[in-house]
This record gives sequence, C-alpha cells and structure tokens, in this order.
Amino acid sequence: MRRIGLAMAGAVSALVLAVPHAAVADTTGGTTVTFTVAAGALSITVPAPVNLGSGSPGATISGQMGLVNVTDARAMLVATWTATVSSTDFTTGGASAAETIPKADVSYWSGPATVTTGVGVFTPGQVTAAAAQSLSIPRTAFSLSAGVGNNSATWNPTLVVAVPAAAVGGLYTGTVTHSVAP
Amino acid sequence: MSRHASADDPQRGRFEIRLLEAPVDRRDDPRAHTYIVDHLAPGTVIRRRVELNNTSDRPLHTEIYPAAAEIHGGTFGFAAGRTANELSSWMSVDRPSLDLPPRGKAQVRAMIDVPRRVQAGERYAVLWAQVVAQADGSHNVAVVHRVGIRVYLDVGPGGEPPSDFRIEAMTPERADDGRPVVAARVHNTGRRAIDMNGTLTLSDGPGSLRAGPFQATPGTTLAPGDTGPVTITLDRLIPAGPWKAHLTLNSGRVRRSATATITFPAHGAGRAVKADPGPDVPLLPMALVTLGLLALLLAVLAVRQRRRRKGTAQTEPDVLDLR
Repeated sequence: MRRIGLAMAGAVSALVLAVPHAAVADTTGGTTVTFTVAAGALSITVPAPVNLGSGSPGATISGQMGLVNVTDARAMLVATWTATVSSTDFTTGGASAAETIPKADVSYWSGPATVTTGVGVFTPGQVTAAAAQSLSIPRTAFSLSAGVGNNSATWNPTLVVAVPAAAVGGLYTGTVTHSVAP
Repeated sequence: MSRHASADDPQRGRFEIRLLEAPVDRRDDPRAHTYIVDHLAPGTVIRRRVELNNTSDRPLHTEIYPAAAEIHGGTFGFAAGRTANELSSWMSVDRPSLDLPPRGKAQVRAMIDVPRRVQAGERYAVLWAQVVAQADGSHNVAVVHRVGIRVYLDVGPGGEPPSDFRIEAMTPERADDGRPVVAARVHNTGRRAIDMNGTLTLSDGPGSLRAGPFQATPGTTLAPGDTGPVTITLDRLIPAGPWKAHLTLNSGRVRRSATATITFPAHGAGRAVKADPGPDVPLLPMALVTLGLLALLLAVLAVRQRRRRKGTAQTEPDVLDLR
C-alpha cells in the first residue's frame, strides 16, 4: 500500500516536471518528408492584349483593358489578397529617349468592381479616372480584405497614356502586368 | 477608346498555381499549407511540387519561374518581372515553361538548392506562374497575368530559429466612416517573418457590455525585428467605452495575447495604451504544476494516514514475532 502511494507520488512528480515550454523553438530538422496539401488556390483570368489606339505627341490616349477577374477558392476563414499592376516603358523603333514613353506617363485606374462574389471588403485600387495612378511604381489594382470563405472580384481597368510632346511617331508597345501572390 | 473583343470573352477562363506538398513537421502550421516555408542548413536541397490548373477552353502556354520578394513596411512585396535575389537564384523548376491543355492541370517540381557558404537568415521570394498575351499588329499593349506562391526560407545550421512577437500597445481610433478601430503595435521579437491574424474581444464596457470577437485585418507581414501595425475594425454601433480590449494574435503556430483599457475617440486617433501581456507563466502549465503539487501533497498524506493506521494494530511491523 505504501509502495503504491509512493509510486503515485513519483508519477505525479514526473507530470509536474513535464510542463510544456512556451511555444518557440522547434528543433526538428527533417524537411524531406512531406504530406499532401489540400488547400484550394487563387486564380486570375487569362490575359488578352489591348489596343490603345493612337494619339499625337502631347495628347492623352485612354483605353479599357477588358475584364480582369481574381477568384479566391482557398476557403479561408480570414481571406485577403491584393492584385498589383505594373508597367514597362512603351517604346518604338530603337527605344531611344525620343522613342520612349516612360512608364511614369502611363496611368491606371481600376474603376469599381463590376462583379463581386462572396463576403469581404472589396477595395478598388482607383475608383474613378480622377484617382488614376501613374505606373512609375507598381500600384494596387484591386484588393480584398476581411474576406470569409471563397470570393471573387471582377473589374475593367483603364490605361491612360500621356504621350510626351517630344515623342516621335511610330507604333509604341509596352507590357502591363497584373500580379497576385496572396 | 477601343477595347479588344476577346477581353470580355467568358471562354477566356482562369489559371492558378497551388502548393501540393509541405513538410510533415509543419502540418500544424497553416502558413505552410499555402506558402513554401522552411528552415534549411547550408548545402541542403529540397523539392516541392506545385500544380498548375487551366480552367479555360483553350491550351495555355505558361511560364513558371522564381523572383525576388521582400518584407517592407509591414507588407510582403514582390519585385517586378523576373528580378532576382539570393533566394530566387537558389531556386529552379523542372519545367520552366509548359503548355497546359484546355481544362487541364500539370505538376511542376520546384527545387531550392542552398549553397554551402551562405549567411544565416531568412529570405523571401515568389514562385510565379505567368501567362503572356503578346502584342500584335492590332494590339500594342501586351498584358501579363501571373499568380504566385510565397517562399519564406530561413537558412542556418542547427534547428529552426524561434518565431515570436509581442503586442506592445493598442491605439483606439475612429475611422473616417465613423467605425471604431483598434491599431495594435506589434514587434517581431523572433528570427522568422510572421504573417499576422487574430481577433479582438471587448469586455467590461458601458452597462457591462461585451462585444466581439472581431477579426484583425490580415495582410501584415513583419520581418524579424520589425514593428508594425495590425488593425481591427469594429462595428459602428459599439459605444465609445471605456472598454477592456483583449487581443489575441497568431502567426502559424505562435499565439500571443494582450489586454488594454481603451476609449474610442470621437475623431482621429486616441492615445496609445501600453498593452498588458498578462501573467508571464502561461496558464496551462501553471495549472498543471498546481494540480501536480496538490496530487503530490495528497499522496504524501495518504501514505502517512496508512502508516498511522498500521501503527495502532502493530507497534513494530518490521520485527518478526518468533513466539
């Protein structure tokens, strides 16, 4: 009886000593064994090229890019994503200074969402033409915050090019990129 | 003004990239299910499978490549185009370009080959899947769409460095639309980047009201050593206070809480209130210790009780009676 009592005391002491630490360092090293992840993904529409039309030096050319849709099928309890837009310079011929429209002269405005699905705070990057931002640096095209579950947003952005007065005639081409890495 | 006809074509469809596998020892870390998160010793090579999915009715020529990213101003930001950094230069894919069939999927294997001589520390990159719509005779703007998987890779000898953070203060504010907002100041005290999520609960309010939980606005990423804000926007109907605000934030497996007494201002931002992290010793281990000590005490008393009982029946139980 005494032995059982002492054994109980021993077991209890072991429990007391096995107190878990504050969850910080994890000393396992093996990263070659993996398990299959079942999470969904975020998708974006297949792009289509844009015809911005023509304009004279000093003029402003504006054109819509067509519908862009981001669909978030990750089914997250708290979802967020941000679509970023960036541009290259627009060039013609040999891309010299007179044959270049710098990307700072290219502006983008997303406009409001044309369609949204799901729950969340959908924020257009630039709701109106007056809010258009120069693509001298990447800008937010559209974002979702405080989403709950699957969601999607569609918008039809507009590109505005202010043709420099010194630009020479020609077919100028450039690339505009929409990126999402939620 | 002109618009390309097929830009509105519903058959255009979508494409996506998805992480297919994660290390077994990170099964309980939700970040590892969507990002490539790892800690590797120099000279290690790992491979991770990703899946590309084309939901359109046409074959899709896709390019997959790693590119630079960094954490700046509380945000995970990526560089333009194929800008490289150290981590992206260690990464490669087995199929840098492929043609996805209509409504088809394909698997790509990404490899991270960490050189033997590298400085310890965490680096960031994105593994992109991109589709290019080329400019042609009638379209002068090429459009590129890309979706990516973030990579958070920590390099160094030995085990995983700690992830930890501290909620330093809470500032009650009033947004322009009249909604009360709590702006928490969080300091990353660990050695790995953290992606903040969490909830805020209000208690002991006017008329003994309680409110919440309210979700923190996600999207704040803090590099080691960074301090940044995490905001929680509340309902417009919440009275100004004073309130006891209890904030619990987490990133992956690390969870921390703090409380502060706040009153929402009528406009703008109020004064920051230092957050109280609560008792230093976490609750569960403390409870275990107390229970353990109690059990030990009971066991000792039980032993003593039994000894006393035996003593009344036999004065010297260890001595043999040879009569």
